This record gives sequence, structure tokens and C-alpha cells, in this order.
Amino acid sequence: MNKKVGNLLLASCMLVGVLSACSSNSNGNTAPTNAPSQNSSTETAGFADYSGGFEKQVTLDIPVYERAFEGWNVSDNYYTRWVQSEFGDKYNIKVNFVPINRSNEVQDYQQLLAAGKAPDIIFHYDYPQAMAYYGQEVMQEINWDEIANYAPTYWENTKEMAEQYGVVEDKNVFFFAQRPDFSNWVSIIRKDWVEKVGMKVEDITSEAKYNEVLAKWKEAGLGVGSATLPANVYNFNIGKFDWPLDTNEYQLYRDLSVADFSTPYTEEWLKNFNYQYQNGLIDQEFYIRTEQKSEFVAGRTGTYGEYITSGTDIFSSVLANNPDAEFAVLPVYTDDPEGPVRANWPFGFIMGINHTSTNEERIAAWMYLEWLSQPENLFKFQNGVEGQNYNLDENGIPVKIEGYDGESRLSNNNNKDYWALVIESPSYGTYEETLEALKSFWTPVGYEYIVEDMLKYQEMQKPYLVTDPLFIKPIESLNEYKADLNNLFQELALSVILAPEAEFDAKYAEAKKKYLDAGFQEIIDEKQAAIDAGLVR
Amino acid sequence: MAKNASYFQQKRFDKWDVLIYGFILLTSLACLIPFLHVVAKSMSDNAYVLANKVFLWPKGWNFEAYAKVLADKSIVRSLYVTIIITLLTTAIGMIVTICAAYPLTKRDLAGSKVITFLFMFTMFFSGGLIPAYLLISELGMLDTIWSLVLPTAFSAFNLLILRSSIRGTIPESLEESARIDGASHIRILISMVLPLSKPIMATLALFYAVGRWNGYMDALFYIKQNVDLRPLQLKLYYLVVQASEAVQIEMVVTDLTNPEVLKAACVVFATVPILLVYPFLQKYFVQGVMLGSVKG
Amino acid sequence: MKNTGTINTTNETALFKKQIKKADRARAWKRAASNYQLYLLLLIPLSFVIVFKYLPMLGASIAFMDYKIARGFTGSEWVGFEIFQELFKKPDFARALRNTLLLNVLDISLSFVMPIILAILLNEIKNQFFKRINQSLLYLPHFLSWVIIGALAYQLLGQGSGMVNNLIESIGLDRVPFLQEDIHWLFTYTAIGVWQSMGWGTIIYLAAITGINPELYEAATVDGAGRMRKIWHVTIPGIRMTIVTLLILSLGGIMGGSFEQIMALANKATTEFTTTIPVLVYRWGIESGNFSRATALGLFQSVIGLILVLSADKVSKKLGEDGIL
Repeated sequence: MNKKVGNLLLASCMLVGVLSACSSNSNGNTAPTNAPSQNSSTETAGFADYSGGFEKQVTLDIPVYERAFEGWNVSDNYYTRWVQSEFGDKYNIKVNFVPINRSNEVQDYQQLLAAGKAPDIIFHYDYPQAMAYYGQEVMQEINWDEIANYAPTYWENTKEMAEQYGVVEDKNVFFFAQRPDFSNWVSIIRKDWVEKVGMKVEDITSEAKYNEVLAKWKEAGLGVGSATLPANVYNFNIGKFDWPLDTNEYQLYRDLSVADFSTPYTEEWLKNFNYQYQNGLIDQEFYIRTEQKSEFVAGRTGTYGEYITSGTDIFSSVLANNPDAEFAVLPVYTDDPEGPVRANWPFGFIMGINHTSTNEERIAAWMYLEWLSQPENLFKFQNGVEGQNYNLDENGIPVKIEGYDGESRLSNNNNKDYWALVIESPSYGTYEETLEALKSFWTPVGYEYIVEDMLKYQEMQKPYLVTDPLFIKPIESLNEYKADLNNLFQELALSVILAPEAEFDAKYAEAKKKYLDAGFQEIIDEKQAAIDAGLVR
Repeated sequence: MAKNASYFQQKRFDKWDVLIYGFILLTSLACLIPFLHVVAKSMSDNAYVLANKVFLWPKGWNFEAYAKVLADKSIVRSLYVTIIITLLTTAIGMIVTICAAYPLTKRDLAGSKVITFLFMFTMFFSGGLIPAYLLISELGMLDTIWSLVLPTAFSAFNLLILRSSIRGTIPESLEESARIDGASHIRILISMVLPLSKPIMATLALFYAVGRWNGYMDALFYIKQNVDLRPLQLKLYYLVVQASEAVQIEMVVTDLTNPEVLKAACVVFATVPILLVYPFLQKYFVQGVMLGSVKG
Repeated sequence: MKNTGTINTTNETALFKKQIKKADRARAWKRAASNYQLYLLLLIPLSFVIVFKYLPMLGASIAFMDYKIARGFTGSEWVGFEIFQELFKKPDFARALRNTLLLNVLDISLSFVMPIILAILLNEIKNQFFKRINQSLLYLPHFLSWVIIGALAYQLLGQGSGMVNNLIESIGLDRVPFLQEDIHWLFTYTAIGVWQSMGWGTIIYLAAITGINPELYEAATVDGAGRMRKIWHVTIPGIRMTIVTLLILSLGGIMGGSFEQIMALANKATTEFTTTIPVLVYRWGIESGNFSRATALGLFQSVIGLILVLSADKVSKKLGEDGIL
């Protein structure tokens, strides 16, 4: 026979063979397990009791971020073995920790889901992405009562959030991890520069005063203020919204993922930005910078913001290049009109159950969350073994023993990726006690006053905290236009900022129209309809 | 005598030589300087690097980044892994490519056009990330070394280059005479064609090797549980990601090393080994001497 | 055949033709059979390609589906060309199309020529040591990631504080917005692209040059040819086949390009030419997790590239070259 024909025949056989294997696999995924509520409604007695364990061993796949910490095996270490012996063995559950790449996690999840290898819990930190997972139909519907039954402690802690934010299109889909309200974002300013021009940091109580300081800096030839164009995360004009809030307007325009270019608040923000730029008060090439740190460290700009930790190198780096530098925290603008301040979401991880998980696997997941929510288990996960990883001080706060390298050592970020399923930050008792402990994580030696001021200003802003509105129905036009609008926002904002002051109004009007036409108007219309239908929190 | 004169004419360093040497030198410098910049950054104090004060010479000598890279004991292991997969990919790649290129050099081979098109088609069309992952998963190659070797072991581009190179350098008459003498195709391939194609084979081997050496995105997704199999580039990528991540959002303490210096050190660490390979290959780029033996 | 003087009847002509055909076919079979070794050799790469390239290619069908991961390839709804239509209608698409063609044509013309010139020049260098060192230096940029190159580019070419501009100003000229004005950006982008790839490209050409029969050079010398004429009449024709092959293949990338290169060198104030198809693949597809769109755009790129390569192949054959197929 002609070898070439035989070749082709062989190839097509292989093709058919592997194709059918592939499709049968994905066929197996096509039937989503039906809402468990249907099952439990037939069990009039309630839920099956698994406190003695499952009859047949259940495999529970729990996702964990893989950060490739040196010497740390995410799936097999002291703590995973501890979970297995303390929890898994007790209930006849085999607990598998599935590594998920921290960067590229969405792609990782999608590949695992397509191959049928995804863990039983699917998580993400951002609500839009969680909604995207929901849109891909990879999450199954959940019964709140089931969670309440198998994970009472966990449910007690998180049920409000689930009921508020976890219902999408009348289906219970998401459950959450707690997120105690702590923030370590701080805005730092060069105190020595401020004083050199005859002012005091505490006096910077309004936007206008801040601009005054910048003008004085420029005159004295010290440097400029830093500036950055928001990208993909929009929080820049929240303070300018009316206060007290016009709820409808707030719900309509306030969105972390797409900028409200057309509002007067953005216009105000842009006007100020334009003023600062055109008068040389801010970094003239801010738009080509990929980060702000280098300019601040080099001593060319006088302001900088970051999430402060005890290991930060910002102060030492600045001092290395500018030995006379002094630092202070930029105050809250008490003289400016009042406005809302963005409150963080009350939740950390947004989670759903894999649509291919069996009833037993799902129940095992609730049981795990319950076990994890027990204070003693959480404490051990977060701190380790007493006497080895930590010692308790007189207030009962654990103090880390430096350099412990034994068997029970924690991962480089304190096992966060394991216990983040129930809570975002370590808890040391009451809010105040936890705050004290966290302060020690945040404070570089010698800069306690920075952290103190940061917390002081946070206190002042507390009355104004408002959470973003959350639509519990997918906004189609948002998904459609978000990527392009994000790109367009930057282009348009820059075209307005870089234009001479006299042309501002014309440029802004032109840009506003462009933005609305590019899809923003559609988004607004859809959102308004959703608001009217009461589909927003 | 005339021949000698023109021979001397060639030897003399003329004005063209000055231009050529000069041009090449300038161009090379333009290519070298950015690399020197990276090397300088990798050995500098992080405060100066942050302030963009380092250009060609390190400022504030500091080898912390290298210490950090080498302190990770698994780095040596990953270097070893990378070498293995590079050698495997190159070997398998070359074999597969040669097996495809040689038969296709024969213009009169029945079906060669179709087969060439089949190969060429793969240069343009691919299924995408998810189908690629599914295939590796179905074949059971996840977490094995083969997931890093086999998918990248064949390049249609290299095939076409090899084919046109063989066609160009080895005249059909040579092969014809060998066939007449009774040699089989495979015999001709091994004892005649390959030895005469050393430069192009060295080139393609280099392409396969460098391509495999630099890539890490596949390992990012295929090697999950079996952490020992992580190649060097992947480990370095993780090192940099860890250092520059905004872990502060997650409110726990991490060990922060300045990512800029670390990034630079990782580039140097990952690039220098493969850079040292080319000089060794250059000896294959020697003028072919066989063509004088062809008679009509 | 018996040479009879009589004229053959139609039947005999037909029979005659049939016998010729049969003889031809027999010869063809015989030739194929004697080439069995070649087919055996081809078996290996073919099965390779079928398993690792063609099987996943079936997954490209999600460009025609409303792909939902949970439903997989077989369960997702078929939508035909809807996705393509959606994408083509978007305003950014036309701009991206124009930019992609512009950038790639510029790139192909300049990036293509540079390695050839360099290879020829390097070949002219007699000092082996100098030659080898420079060869190795020239391809260093190939090993730098675009992120690094981008950061360096702005450090050097930034209008406000870039080193090159500082130099330019110090000799009395105006500062040049290399990356901060549209037309300038276009050329700077292309130049950097050439710089990054030229060294690596010389490797193939150098290998091809070593394949040139040295006797040809000797013959040229005897004919009294100087350096330039030797280059023109010996070196270039000697590598012509490689040049043509690479040129045709590079046309296949006419709709492609490097997303990383744009991201590294673009800034938000100079946006006329910075939206290209690869950028859209990332923005509309990968970033949004919409694989149907990413695949659809990828298919578009591939089809255009393939058509161009096939056309170029035909043209080159007409011009007497070997071509790809």
C-alpha cells in the first residue's frame, strides 16, 4: 500500500481516538450537579449527619496560591499534614491542596476547569472576575441552610455578606471570607521640603493649600509633587461626590472598574490635575513612568504613597540619596468640602463551589471551613506552635521568634494563603488588640510616628466610609466595554491634562462625548435600569 | 604573478576595512551597552538603582541579589533541570527536523508539496492556551519533563530553513551519484548530507536551545506538584514576582528584597550560561570544503 | 514501439496512450517504493505534528462558539462568524488593523535588511577574533526582555530627562521627543525593534554564507573583482535562497507582532500608532478571560498571514526562485 495513505489512515485513527477521549471528558462536565436544595427537600429530616465521618472516603481539593517560596512545598508540609491528621482523618476526608499560580491565576483556573482538574472551591479577590467565573457556568448553586448546618461558626461570621453579595440572578452562588477593616496605605510627604518653604505639614488641610506648597517648592527649586494616572482601578474622585450622598447618583457612577469620566466630579479632578501640570507643580513626565518610587527616592518628587510594612526600604533609600530628608504623613483635607471615603469591601476571598463537585465534596468543603474557623485552629495556622514559632507576651499577643527554622515554620507570608479562606488578616482578639499586633507588622524601626499619624487620619475619615455599590446582576455592557474604556480613559484624561489651561473646557467637552459614545452611556443606562429594579447593594 | 598581486591586494587593509570595522564596532557597542547596564544594576546598592543613578558602572557595590539567588538551594537543581530539558529539546528537535527536511528536499518526491504544506500550516494556526493544556493533561504529561520537551521540540520554521539550506548547498548530482553507487537514502543522509550541513545544523541547534532556555510560561502551568522540575527561568521569574508583589495589600510581613536589583541579577544569571554556548558553536561555522570534489 | 508506416487507428492510439499511462504509473510506484525510506523518515515528524499541533488546533473552533468552560468544546453553543463580526465592528479594530500593517511593513523592510548587511560585513572581517567577539555581542539584545528594554529606552530617550536628549541639548540642539510624539514614536519603535533582532538574525545568514563555494570567490578574484563586486556577485547570490525563504516566511507575520514590545515602548500620551492586533488580542481576549475572542482574532491573524505567504510563494516561483512549497 502506498505508505503515504497508510500514514494518513494511522493519523486519522489516532485523531478519532484522542478526540473521543477529549470529548467524553468534557461531556462528563456538561451536566452540572443540580441544586442540592432539591435533594435536601426530599430529606424531610434535614441534613445527613457526618460528624462521625463519611462512609466512603471523600477527596476534598482546596486551592492554595503558589508563590514558589524557597524550600516550601505548598501541597505537602507540616501544616497540610496537620490538617490531614486533625481534620481529614477524623472525617475520612482526603484533603488535597491544589497549587494555583498567584500571577496568571485566572488562566490557571480556566485551564484546570477545562481539564476537569479544578479544586472544589473556586476563589478570587475581585468581584468582577468572580462574576466572570459565574458567567462561565463553573459554579454550582448553593443552599445557605446547608452551610448553616455543616459550618455554623463559619456561617455566623459570614452570613451577612453571603446574603448581601452572594446572590446573583436569584441564585446563591458566592460565599466569602471575612476582611477586618484594616488598611496600611500611607501618603508620605517630604517634611524637610515643606518646612524649607516656610510652611508646616499640619497646615496642609486642603487641595488649595497642597497646591500652594507645590508652588513654593517649584519656586525654591526643590522639586515637584508626584502624580499618577489611575489605571484599571478607579478611586480618584470619590472624595468629590456630594455629601450627604445622593444614593442614586452614587450607585450609578461609583465603580472601581470603570471610570466615570463624564461626571462633574471627574471634571473637577481633571481641572485640578491640569492646573498642577500646566503650572509645573507636578512631575512633567508622569505619564511615562511605570512607578513613582524612583522619582521619590532620587529626590525629584516630594510625595509618595505605599502600603507600609516594617520591612519597607523607602525611607532608607531616600536617605541614601538625600541625607537631609525628613518624612511626614500627608494630612486629611479637613478644609475641603466633605465627601465620601472608599471603604474596603467587608470580604476578602469571594468563593464558589466547582460545578463538578459532588454533594459529599461540597459538604466536606463546609466542614473544612468550619474547622478552619475554630479560633484554636486559626490561631495555630496563623502563628504556629507556642515555644517554637512564637512566645506569648504579657497581653497574650504572640511575639514571633525570629529565625526559627524548625519543622513547624510558617510559609513566608505566615501561611496566609491557607487561612485566607476564612479571614483576610490575623486576628488577635478584639479589634484594638489586633490593631496593636498589626502595628508591629507595619512599623519600620524609627518611624512609629508615621504609622501613628496614618492611623490618626484613618480615624478622622471613619464617619465618611462608604462601600462601593455592588450590582448583583451581571452588567453586560460593562463586560463588553470595560477593557476599551479603561484604555480610552487614559488617553482622554491625558489629552485634557496636557492641554493648555485655556483650552480645558473645550477639550473636556470633546473627551466627555467621546467617552460616552464609546460605551459608557450604555453602561450608565443599563445600570440605571438595574438600580430601578433594585438589583444593587 | 597576477594571482599573487591580487592576493596581496586583498591582504592590504583598505579604506573599506576601516569603514566596516568601524560600523561593526559601533553597532556591537550599541548592543553591548544595555546589557552592561543590567549587569551594573545587578551589583549596585538598591537605593541608587531605585533613583536611576546607575548606568554603566555599579554604584555602591552590593552582591545581595546574587546571594539571594544562590541562597535558594533549588536554583542549582533548576539549572540542572534546564540544562537537561534544553539538551533533550535540542536533540529531539534536531532529529525530528532532519527527518522532515531531508525527504522534502527532493522535489520529485510524491506528495512532498502536500506534506510541506501540512508542516507549514502549523506555523500559522494553533489551538490556543486551553487546548494545549488539555492535550498535555490528556497525555498524562503534566508534571513530567516531557511536557517541557515534546511540545516545543519541532519548529516548522527551522524545518523550512534546513530544507532550503540543504537544497542550496548540496547539489543533486552528488546525491544522484551516490544513489547510483547503491547507497540508501538514509545512508546518504547520515554520511553525506549531515556532515556537509554543519553550519546550518549548528544554527538550528542553537535556535532550539535558546528557545527552550528562555521560555518558562509553559512550565508555569504544566509543572505544579513536582516542584523539583521547575526550570531556571521559572524560578527566577518567581523570585522577581515575590519581591515586587504588592503583598502589603494582604497585610502580612514579607521579606522584601529590592526587585529592581533582583530582576537585574536574575537576567544576568539566566543569560550568561547560554551566551557562553555560541562561541563554542562558532567553530562549526567554517567554510565548506567539499564542493571542490564535485565533478560535473 | 514498432515503427510502422501506416497511420494508427484511434483505437490503437487510445491503447497506446493507456499503455504509456500504465508504464508511467508503474514507474511512479517503483520510484515511490524506492523512496520508502524517505516516507519512513517523514513518519516521525508527521506523527509529532499531528499529535502536538493538529490535535490542539481543533480547539481553535472556540472562535466559532460561545465558549463556556463548564460546557467544554462540545457543549458550547455554535455561533458561526458572530464573534468575528462583533470584533470587526468595534471602532478600535480598524485603527489596529492599520497600525499593525504599518508597523509590520516598516519592521519587515528594515529588520529584514539589517541582518543581511551585518552578516555580509561580518563575513568581510578577516580578524577571526574581532569577528567572533562582535558576533556574540550583536545578539545580546535578543536576550533582554522587553520590559527591561522599555525602561531603558525611556531612561535614555525621555524628552525631559533622558540621557540622549541631555546630550543633544548640550550641543545646542532642541530636545527630541523620541517616544513622546506620534511620528517620532513610529520610527523609534521600529529602530529599537531592528536593534533588538538584528544580531540574532545574522546567525542564519552567516551560516548560509559559509555554505558558499570558496572556488567562486577565487574565480572572482582571478577575474579581477574587487571587494564590492565579490559581495554583489558571489556572496549575495550565494545566500539568495535563504533570503527568499526568510522573506516569504516573515510575510506570514504581517498581522502579528509583539504585544510585549508595544506595551514596553508605548505611553498613554502618544497613542496614534500604539493599538495593534496583538494588543487587542490581549485586551479583548486574554485580559478579559474571553478565549473565544482571543482565538477568533488569532485565527484572523493566521489566515491573513497564510494567504500572504502562499501568494508570495507563487510570486517567487514565477520569478524563478524555489519558493516554499
